[in-house]
Amino acid sequence: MLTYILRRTLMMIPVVLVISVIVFWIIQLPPGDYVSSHVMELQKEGEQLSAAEQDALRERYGLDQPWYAQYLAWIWGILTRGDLGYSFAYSQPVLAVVERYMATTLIVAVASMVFTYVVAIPIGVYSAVKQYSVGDYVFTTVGFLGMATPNFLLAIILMYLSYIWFGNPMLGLQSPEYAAQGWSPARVLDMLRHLVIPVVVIGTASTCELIRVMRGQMLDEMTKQHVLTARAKGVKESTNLRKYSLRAALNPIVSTIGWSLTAIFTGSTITAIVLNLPTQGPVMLDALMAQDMYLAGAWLGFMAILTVIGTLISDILLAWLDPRIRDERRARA
Amino acid sequence: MAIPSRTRTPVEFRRRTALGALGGMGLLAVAGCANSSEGTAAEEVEAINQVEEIDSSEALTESPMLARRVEAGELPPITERMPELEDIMVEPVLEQIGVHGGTWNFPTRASQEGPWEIGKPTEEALFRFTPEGDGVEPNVAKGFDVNDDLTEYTIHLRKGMKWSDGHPFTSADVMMWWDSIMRPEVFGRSVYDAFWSTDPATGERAMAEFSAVDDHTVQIAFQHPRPMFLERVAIDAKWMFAPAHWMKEVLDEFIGEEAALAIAEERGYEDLEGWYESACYYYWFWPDRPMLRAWTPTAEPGPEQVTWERNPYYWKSDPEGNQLPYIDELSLETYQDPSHVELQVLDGHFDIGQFEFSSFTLLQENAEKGDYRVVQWETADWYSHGIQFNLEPADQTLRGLFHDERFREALSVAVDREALSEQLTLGLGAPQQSSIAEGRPFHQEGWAEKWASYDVDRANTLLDDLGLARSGDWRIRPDGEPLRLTLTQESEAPQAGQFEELLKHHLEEIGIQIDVQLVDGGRFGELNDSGQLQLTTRGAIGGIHPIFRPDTVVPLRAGTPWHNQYGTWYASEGASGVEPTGDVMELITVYRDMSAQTDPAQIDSYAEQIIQFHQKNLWALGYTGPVPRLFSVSNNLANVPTETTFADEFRDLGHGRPAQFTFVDPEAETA
Repeated sequence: MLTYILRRTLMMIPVVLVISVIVFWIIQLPPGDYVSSHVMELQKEGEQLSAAEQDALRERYGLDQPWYAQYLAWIWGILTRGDLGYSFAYSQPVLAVVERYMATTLIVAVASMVFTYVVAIPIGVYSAVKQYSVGDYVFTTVGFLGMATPNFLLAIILMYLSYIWFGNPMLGLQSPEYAAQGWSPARVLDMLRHLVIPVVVIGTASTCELIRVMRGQMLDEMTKQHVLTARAKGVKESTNLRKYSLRAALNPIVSTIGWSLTAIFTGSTITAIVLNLPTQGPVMLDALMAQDMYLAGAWLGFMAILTVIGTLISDILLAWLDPRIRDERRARA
Repeated sequence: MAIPSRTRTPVEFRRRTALGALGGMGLLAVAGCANSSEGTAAEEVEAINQVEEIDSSEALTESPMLARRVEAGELPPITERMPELEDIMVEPVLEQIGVHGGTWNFPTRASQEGPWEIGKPTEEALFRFTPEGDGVEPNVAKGFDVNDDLTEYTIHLRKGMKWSDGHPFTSADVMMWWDSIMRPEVFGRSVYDAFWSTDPATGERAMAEFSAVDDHTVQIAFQHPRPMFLERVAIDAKWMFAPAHWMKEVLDEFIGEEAALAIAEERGYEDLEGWYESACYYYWFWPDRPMLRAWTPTAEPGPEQVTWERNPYYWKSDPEGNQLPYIDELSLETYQDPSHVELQVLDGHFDIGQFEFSSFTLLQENAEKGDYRVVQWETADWYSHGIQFNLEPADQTLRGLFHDERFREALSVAVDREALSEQLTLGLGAPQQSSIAEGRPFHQEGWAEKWASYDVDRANTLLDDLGLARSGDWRIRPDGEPLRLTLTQESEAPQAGQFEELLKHHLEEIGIQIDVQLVDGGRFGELNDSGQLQLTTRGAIGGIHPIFRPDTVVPLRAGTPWHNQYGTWYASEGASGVEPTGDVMELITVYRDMSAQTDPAQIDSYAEQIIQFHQKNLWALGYTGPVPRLFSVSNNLANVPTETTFADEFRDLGHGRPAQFTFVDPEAETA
């Protein structure tokens, strides 16, 4: 097992490196660079930069170098100093920018992940056990509606309802009057209220998907022979469900848990913009649009690493959860 | 304009400058104000504003918020915080004497996307434009003297004035800015145009010299006459001062490069250039950086919200001696999409919102519900919807066409302006040519009507005359290719795509095939710089006066699509770009002559020539007249001008003098 993990970890390194090259190359592909989009922004506000001033900016940011030189300098900084580079737009190290938005991003991401699992798994199991009941039909319908509705549309609908019913569209993660204060019960309550819409919106899409997956898996598992045998031997139905069917049905869900790590970063960028959430998504979108190279590059690099790590975690979890996978490997080895 | 006189005692120095042509605007603005409020109220306000000086320290009143801090011993009393009585700047109020207190909910984009949204309204310039916009008046400065040949400007500062940390503001702060910040160019900008004088004979430029006469007097000397120096300062070098005591602790000149770098890194910068640009130019985000603004930040910008608090040492009062600003704090709230601002204005949350014209209907419909009013400020643009021809496209056939007056006229008369005006501007942008509105300086008779009638036959005749015969749907160019033009717009522009599609419809009627191209900002810049644009609907040309901001009407530097290659040529002194010919070259010549004039009447007559070249050639076509810039203003907020000009030269909302904005009932606001 240990060698397995070690081997997989080592394999990650070249994968991540290759991804980082591709990512960096793609970011600089569009015409123009950060300076040209920055100059356009300034122009809109009436500020003009002369050609010489623009060139000086390019030189300062190293944008006068070819992209591979920029890439090598960047990757060298990461490898030797752990320096992720510098965000032009924020005039701050990339790490500081990411840090600034990390807390709120984690809050939203974790809350919506918890929401997803807490809602989806019981409903999926219920739908399978009571297949073709009224409840199953209701959940199935709601599930398909949820999957088919784009997140941002749902966000707009909920904002509208919140505005009509409570007179507040619940933009952002907290009311402005609390932002400058320390933490207090009132502020936590305020944040929880603001969290409802994002969590429901971001959670719903994957919830619905998960319900369907869970239901299908359970239906499969419930008719497997070992389950039938157990039932024939008089094992209690609830024990049978929990110990045999459910455990096996969780398999595909666990194998995708790793991917949800990336969702922490990218999850729901459009929803975050619609709801004015101060999370990573919109920041990174802006970085890509403005060609804020290192911020965008670091972010895409993160995603790549997280996906790779996520896959590794999933594999390990699976091996642990499902003896068949373990045994298969042992058998082969 | 008053004639400058040589001998003046310091109390007599001048309080404003004025350009002849712009005098008319003042009348217009004043008349507008009088109409919008009741006659008697206007007279009362005028009576209040008669006060030019606070004559007794008894009269000075401070916000209860500061009074509490004085009581607690955290602040010195108000008389010690404000300048000497005769040097306190008395800011006239627009409608009423205000009440201290309240929080102004202020929407801003994330700070890294645009520092100016909060920068402009809170800016305190050494000299600022008068409310009428016809010249500049002292702001941070108390006044000025100038000698007869315009080579020596003496600027007087206010005695006893203090930075927001209580440190005295003196001539050393101006000298610090010039000697250690501007002249060494530490913040990424070259020494501004304002500080150069031109030898009328050789055209050579010489840099100004600064000297401190005493603690409160600075002298700026030029080798050659420098007309319009103060106006240029008001535009280029808005803040010609920096807190010397603070700068001495951060600039490498005083503490050595190593220590300076350490500070830069501590602040999150990896080089001195980045840190200095932030400390010396976009400085208003640092809470510890002393400023002269009415409000200063209490924290560095965060992801969501930051509060700006009143500056206890602010140096202006209203005519009754109440220290300004009236409003205690600003709550800057970050939005990611303009629709969030709309939503929260309708909700009554944001006290002032700034909008593009496209929000007009939405704002008007919900004004009562959101308890706000919609205020319209005129802009100085010559049109709201129009096109610019890139006069140097890569394709030589197109170049020939774009330079041919008949072609431009055809594209102008082929479009139904009446329809566009209704469809795009609700009828507010008049169906007319790109031009200067009646009542504004340099208005020209007949300009608005030139090539402005809808006449498809005329357009067809003109194109036929040009040898562009029609074959089927499209006209054929002399080289046998169909006539096909690309119309480029930035995808983030308001109403992007709508106007372009309508224009495409009208132009295809006369046989010109149009490809509409919506691109993002960086791509647009690239197309523009490389001369690949053909037609573009992005931006508008115009401005208050060609001497203030000539960029869009005279090719002095790159940026404006119609003259981008010429501007590049001029700015690079011929190294790159394309040398203009004919009337475009004339524009440059006239502009240079204008810059060398010392007499305002002469300046205006040259400016008029520049305008007339535009009237004659119409390098940019306008289809609908200018539309106003919109503000939603909470009904609880008073003293916000309803009719004035929105222009960058005037610092946008800052032209309304936000320090004297006041809540009618501050308590209701904080509730």
